[in-house]
Amino acid sequence: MTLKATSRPEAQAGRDPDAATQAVRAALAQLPPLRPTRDLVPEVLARIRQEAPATAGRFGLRSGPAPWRTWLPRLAALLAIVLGVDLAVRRHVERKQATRDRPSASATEARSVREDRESRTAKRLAQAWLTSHQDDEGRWDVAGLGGRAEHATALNALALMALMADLPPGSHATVRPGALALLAAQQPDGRLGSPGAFAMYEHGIATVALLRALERGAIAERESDVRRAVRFIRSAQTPAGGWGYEPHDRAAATGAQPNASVSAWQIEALGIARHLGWGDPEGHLRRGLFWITQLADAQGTVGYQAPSDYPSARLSTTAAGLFSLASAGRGLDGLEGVTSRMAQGLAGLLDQPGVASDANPYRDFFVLRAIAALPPPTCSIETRRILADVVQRVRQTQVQQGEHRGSWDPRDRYARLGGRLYSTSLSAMALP
Amino acid sequence: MSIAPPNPPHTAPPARDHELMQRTVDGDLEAFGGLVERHQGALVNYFGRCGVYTGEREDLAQETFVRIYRYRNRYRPTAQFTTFLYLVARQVRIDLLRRTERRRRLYDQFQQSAPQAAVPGAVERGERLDIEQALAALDETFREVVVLVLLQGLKHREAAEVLAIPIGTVKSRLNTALQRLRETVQGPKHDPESDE
Repeated sequence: MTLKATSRPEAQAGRDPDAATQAVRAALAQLPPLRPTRDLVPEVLARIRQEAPATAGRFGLRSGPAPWRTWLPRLAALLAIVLGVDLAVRRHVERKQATRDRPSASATEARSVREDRESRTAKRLAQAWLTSHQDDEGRWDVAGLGGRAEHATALNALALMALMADLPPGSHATVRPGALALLAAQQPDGRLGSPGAFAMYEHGIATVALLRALERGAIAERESDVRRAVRFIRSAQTPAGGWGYEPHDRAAATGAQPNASVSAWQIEALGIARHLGWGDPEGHLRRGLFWITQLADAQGTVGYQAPSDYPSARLSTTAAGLFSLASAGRGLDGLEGVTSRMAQGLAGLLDQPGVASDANPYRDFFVLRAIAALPPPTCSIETRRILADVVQRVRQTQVQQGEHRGSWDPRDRYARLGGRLYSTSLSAMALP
Repeated sequence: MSIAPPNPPHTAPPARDHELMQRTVDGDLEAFGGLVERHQGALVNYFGRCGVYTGEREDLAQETFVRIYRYRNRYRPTAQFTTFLYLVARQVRIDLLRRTERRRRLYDQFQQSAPQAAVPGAVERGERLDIEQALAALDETFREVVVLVLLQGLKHREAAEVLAIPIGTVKSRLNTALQRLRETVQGPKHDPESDE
């Protein structure tokens, strides 16, 4: 193939790379634009009106000034399109329901406004339950709510995070006591919580909660203590970049290895610290993120301690890894490709039995947070449909009556450790 | 759809994209219609030059606009509307590729096997077909940079935002793409002197 028509002789262009490149540019510029074969305006507007009539009413969508003579034929055509689309959607829904017990993409979109409202209601109920069970010192009775007292720090921190998640800025009445209660247990080296087998889980979760409280101005005078907690995370990092159940110095003695789940909390904390302007002076955050990327296989699935290492649900570790990259790694160079791969990996894992129907607060929490942390547009219609089913299931399992109205019954594998406080905090935070 | 009526002329004075988008956010659906009317041609060209099958370009453009409407509250006037537009369009195209990977491969094979025979007067328009084929044969990573910057007119900074890569990477990919296009339309690189 040769470039036949250029402003320069072909031989000259062939010897002169710059001239040849200019000729390529010129040829590209001369490509005729590909034009639509029909006007898309009526179709687009019809789809918008058809897909979200509730949104249109709620936000007061209005048409521009146009004579009725101009609009009449257009409206007739739009009506025909709407009816046609509506019929197609109905058939699609029927077909889908016959094979899978899931609503269609269009139906999912149409119910979005109602679901947003229901999610807000569910979160308010959860917040009311959390507030009603917080004592005057800002703590929750972990054991009394079915959890283990030795995990009080992490469980109180999760409850505090859930409480903050839906509070307007400046509301410190419940946040400040909760944060100060966490800080009351801080050790001289900055550690939060007990030095038990779950030490870094406890510390990471508590540090995230404190950073969130600091971020919203609830404990400004305790910034130095929160900085100490962040420094402890940095000191506990393994040379490889991840974090294990115990700090690195102790892990070296016990042989404990870093894992994706524990590391996700430390990375989130370092990401918030960076957002607060504390930077990443010695590259701990970067090393942590890089370590997470090393856990992903070619399909974007994240292993627990190594690629293809799946002692339990790979969906949770993939979601945790993706959340780390999409939130704490936002704005850092070199993560785009692997973030995209992990997002694809997560989407692939979502389409498996049980994801939409089986209660798993930890998995739901990380999956929905990871998706929410991705820049728009986040995922395909099919993935959104599955996520909508997950959200619906979370809402539908919230207790609606009695003393624990607004909470979630502890039902998953970690129920014996975390009890009702754990299931409620994570479920409430999972809701969009 | 052949039942689409002729679009009535918009009588309102021309407004800038971000003004129309702001009116859309405020609830003026007709303003959004103005944005669709203004950018539908560019979007169809974008999808076409990125290798989307003829019958799907308009569907993808439509899907892009619908998504933009859904995400209207996330648009910030500090960014060019076209950046937002192509950011969404690119994701729409990626979603399509995932759904129709097998069909796309078949279409690509068809395109490569007999593209010119399907176009009357191909010989007379040899140059255009050559550069079109070269563009179509370009690796996706490089083709989208060429399409965004050279065909759709985005600035390097805007293309970098759309592709979520640094500006330097945009420039280097563009240079590489032009070099590969040049080699494709001129044949393998060689030293003319050595042939003597």
